[in-house]
Parts: sequence; C-alpha cells; structure tokens
Amino acid sequence: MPKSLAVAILPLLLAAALAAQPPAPPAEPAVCDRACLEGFVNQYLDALVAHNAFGLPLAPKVKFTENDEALDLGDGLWNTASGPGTYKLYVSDPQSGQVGFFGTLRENGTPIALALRLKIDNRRISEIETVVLRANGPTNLGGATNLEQMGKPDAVFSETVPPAQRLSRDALIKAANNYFEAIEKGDGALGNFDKDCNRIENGVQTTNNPSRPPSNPANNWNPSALGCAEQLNTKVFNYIQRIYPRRFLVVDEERQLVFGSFMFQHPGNILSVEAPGHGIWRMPETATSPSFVDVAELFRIKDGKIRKIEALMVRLPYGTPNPFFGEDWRRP
Amino acid sequence: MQRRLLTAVASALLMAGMLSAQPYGRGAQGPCDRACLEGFINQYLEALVAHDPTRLQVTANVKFTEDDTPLKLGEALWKTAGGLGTYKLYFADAQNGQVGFFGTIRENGRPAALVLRLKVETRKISEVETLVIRNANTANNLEKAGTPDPVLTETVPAAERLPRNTLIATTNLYFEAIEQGNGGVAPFHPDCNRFENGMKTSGPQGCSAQLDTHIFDYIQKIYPRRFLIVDEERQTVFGFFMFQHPGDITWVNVPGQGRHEMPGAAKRPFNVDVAELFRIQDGKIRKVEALMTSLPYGAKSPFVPQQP
Repeated sequence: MPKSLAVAILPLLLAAALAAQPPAPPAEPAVCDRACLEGFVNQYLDALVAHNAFGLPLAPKVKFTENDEALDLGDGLWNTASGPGTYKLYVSDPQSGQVGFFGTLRENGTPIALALRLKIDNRRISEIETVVLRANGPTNLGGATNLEQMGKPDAVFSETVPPAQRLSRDALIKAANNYFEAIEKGDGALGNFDKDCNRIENGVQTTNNPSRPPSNPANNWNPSALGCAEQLNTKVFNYIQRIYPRRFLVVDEERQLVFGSFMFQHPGNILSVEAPGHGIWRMPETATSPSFVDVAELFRIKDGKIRKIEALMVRLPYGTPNPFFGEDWRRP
Repeated sequence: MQRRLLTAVASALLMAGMLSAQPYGRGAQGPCDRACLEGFINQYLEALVAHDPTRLQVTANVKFTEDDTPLKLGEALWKTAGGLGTYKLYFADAQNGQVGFFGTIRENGRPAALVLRLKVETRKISEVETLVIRNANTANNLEKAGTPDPVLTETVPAAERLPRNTLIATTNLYFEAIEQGNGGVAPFHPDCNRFENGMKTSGPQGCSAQLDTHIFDYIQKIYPRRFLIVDEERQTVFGFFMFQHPGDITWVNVPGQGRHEMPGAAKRPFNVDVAELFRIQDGKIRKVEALMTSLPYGAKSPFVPQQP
C-alpha cells in the first residue's frame, strides 16, 4: 500500500520537477521589436570590445563580413577593438528582423567608424555585415573624429513619424532608389530631394558646405557648396558609372528610414566632365583609377522626398564582390 | 607535273611566310622557351595599352585577376592603361609554362607599377594574374633605377645551379624567418638587399639582422605561399605571398633596444599581397625584389581553391 502510494505520488513529483525547469520557449518567439533589435547591437558591440564572441546568441550558421571579406567571427576588428565610442545611430526593422548601426569605436586606441548590420532569426544572429572606416585606410574623410564632434545623430533620423504621414516600405525603398538613379544619370531632378536635403559621408558634410575644399584643387569651383540636387546636375559624379548591387536591407517604417549596402563602381576612365553652368571639372585622382566603394547608406524620407543622407564607405579593389550578394556585380 | 610542283612550293612558301608573320610562334609546337614566354608578356602589354584583349590568344576558360579580384579581360586596367613605362624585368619558367614581369606603365597619365604573371598552355594564355601599384613614387623609383639589378638577369653557369626544389626551399626560409622574427632561420647572402615598391627596405642592418629586431612581428602569417615561377638558368624564384596582419601586436621588445611601438598602419587588420622575386646565389638569398598592394584583411587569392 505505501508502495502504491509512492507510485501514485510519482506523477506529482514529475510535475513538480517539470515546473522547476525554466519555461520552454514559445514555439514562435514574438517579433524582435526596436528595443530587442537595438539590444542585439549593444550586445554585439560589448562582445566586440571584450574580444569575446562566445556569449553571443548565434544562429548555427552565422555569416560575418568585414569590408566585404568573409571572416571567422572573432577575427578582423574582433582582435583590435579597444573601446566604445560616443556616436550611435540605430535603424530598426522588426518586420525583416534586421538592424543597422552607424557608430564610433576605438581600435588600438585610434578612433574608427563602424557600419553594422545584424540579421536576427528566432532571437539569434544569423548575419553580421560590417564596414570599418579606419584612420589609416583609404577613403577616409575624417571619419570617426568628425562623427563624434557632431555630438549625436541628426534628430531627423530618430523622430517617430505619425502613422498618417508614413510611406509604405515599398515607397520608401523606391524613394531611396531614386538617389542612385539620379547619380547614374547625372540628373538631380530624378532624386526628388527635399529642399533641406543634406548628405554626410564618412563624417563630412558633402553638400551645402563651401568650406569643404574641392576634391581636385585643379578646379576653380566647388561642388561641395551645392545642394543635393544641384550637385548631381553638375555631372561631377559621372565617374560613378554604376551603383550595383543596391541592397535595401533595413526599412524603419516608424522613422521613415531606409538603410542598405550599395556598391559604387568606378571604372576610372572618365577624366573630366563639362559641368553645365560651371565649366570643366577635372576628376580627382581617386576617380581616375579603377575602384569599387562599398557604401553603407541611410536615407530619411520625408513627404516622399529625400531629406537626409548619411553614409560610411570604404574603397575596395575594382570588382570586389559582396559576399552576401550571390550574383554577378555586372548588372544584367 | 611542273604546275603541281609549283603549287606545292608556293603553298609551302606561303605557309612558312604566314607562320613567320605570326607573332610569338603562335600555333608552333614544342615548349615555349624564354623568348617565346617573354613574347607573350610583350604581346599582353601591347594589347593592354591598346585596350584590346581580342588581340590575345587565350584559352576558353582564361582566368584574369587584378589585385586579387576576378575580372574579365578588358576590365579595370584595360580601360585606364595609357602607355608603357621604361622599367622591365622578366622571369621565365619554360618547364611550367609560366612567365612573370615587373614593370612600369602609365594609367591616365600617371606612373604606376605592374606585376604580371601569365600561364601559357599550348601557346595560349590560360591565367593572367596582376597587381597594380597605383603609386607614382613606386613607379618613379623603379624608372630612376634604370635597369633591373643584373643579379636578377644573369645566366648562372649550369654547374653552379641548384635544382628547382632547393631554390623553392631556400626561398621559403625567408618567410619562416619573418614569421619567427629570426634572421638566422634563412640563409642570407652577405650582400643581400631587399627592394619593396621601388625602395630599399633592408635597412642599414641588412637582410638578416633586420629580422632579428622583431619589428616585422606584426606580419603574423604569410600564407598562402605560392611559388609559381622558377627560372633555373638565372636561379630566381617568383611567387605571390599573402602577408596577414591581424593588427593586434602593437609593440615589440627589440633586443638590445627595448620597446618599439608599431606604426599606426600596422595596428589595424589588413592583408598585403606581395609579388616577390628572389635570387638565390651559392645557396643563399642574395636579392629580394617585391611589388605589393594592400588589401582588406581576409582577402584571398582567386587562384587558390577555397573551402565552401
């Protein structure tokens, strides 16, 4: 009888044992919202500076790239990051489970800038794409130090747009894509720019900025003094012959932002252009040798127009393929 | 009868004429010797500055890279090369059907240096590997030197020659010496010197003692080491060698001198693809000449099969 009592109690003991276990995760975790996505970025940065990737929640097959080279997680900047920086700009897309980030760090004590994209699947990191702008690298226009001197990101990147004023995801991507069409065709009107549009590249304001010297001093006029649309009309960017692939990856609908990775292709064989109203523009040396520049670029779309652009970019050998893009970079 | 003879003679003469008019023995049989291999380099350079790759005899699957990026012939430097420079250094390996070249060119009017390796199979180019050093100082220094160091071009008497494998093994010790920070690992000739991107970099200490200082410890791995062209007559070895710099060695203790801070450029992750030519004399490294280009950390040679 005591034996059968024990048998009878057994299910209770089992139930108690089960109850003591941590709760099983739900079959389908809730959407990783903005706070969750930004949390992944912060967790990643903490691990990076600690040179310890082991605590990160990783998908079984995580893909990590730095400046378009596939690396093992723990290599590259993971060996050299020495401290956090002060500039932080987040872009969150709960629908696609992706988050973008522009920020600063220290690498062996030197300020550097980082563009980071994480893809989160079931609360685990499955893709890590980074562009690292180093003081000793090419295409450095001032980079990290300038970003930190700006203090914090432009408020237009972090304000919540009332739902009634929001464009759909597709419309946001289309508006951002117009920028690349405008560059390729040398026609500012195609970009549909807001009258207050400005562009920051590697920490430097490259529009409406007469104090920025011309990229080639052999010219006697300065495109940096012009606004977003007028600057493209001058055709000084005609050396950018193709922008492909155009990977629109993170769409922040609440903030009306689009973030992606865009490969600027420079064959290097356009040496000068006739700029309407300005005369001849002689291309700078960097534009007259073959190169690719991988541009991590963020767009704020306002009232359907491009209001602000911020970008971090690195120069790469001509023809460098993006490891996340499986197809030929020669656009069909 | 007479007419047939004439026809036969005429066609033989015509064929001979056609053959001799073809550049670089195209279609000829037998191994492609030094003159033949150097001819392929010259033909390539002429086509390059003419922006016309159709002039080349290439295999169906010819592979072309510039700065470790696979491209189609006609892209990149093929669009921007404006003319040839005056520095020319050839090295040939008839046994392997491969030929290499260090030289200068003009790109959109600016001096640049070019490394070129061709693989030739049945008189057709099957591989084209290039590095372009877009740095006017490098090209200018090479041209100021005038002609290459004669030790790189002199024919070594047959009795003094080392076999291929020994030449490669000797060269390999250079990379071992760098990785280990120990000049004693490699057999350096007392007259050894090293030129990199047109500058003498072996310093006042010389090739061996310089490595003992550990100032190159930031070069943590040299891999892959691709020994590609062995010029047995001239006792030279050429290849491409990927110098890997993780960037996390920020200082070293130089024996006898103390703490040496690495320069900023060494304190970040980057790779350098080094095209390097070695002259082996009396079993020792007599001369090193290299042209190199900086690449993102992790850059791989497209000629090395990758793990999926």
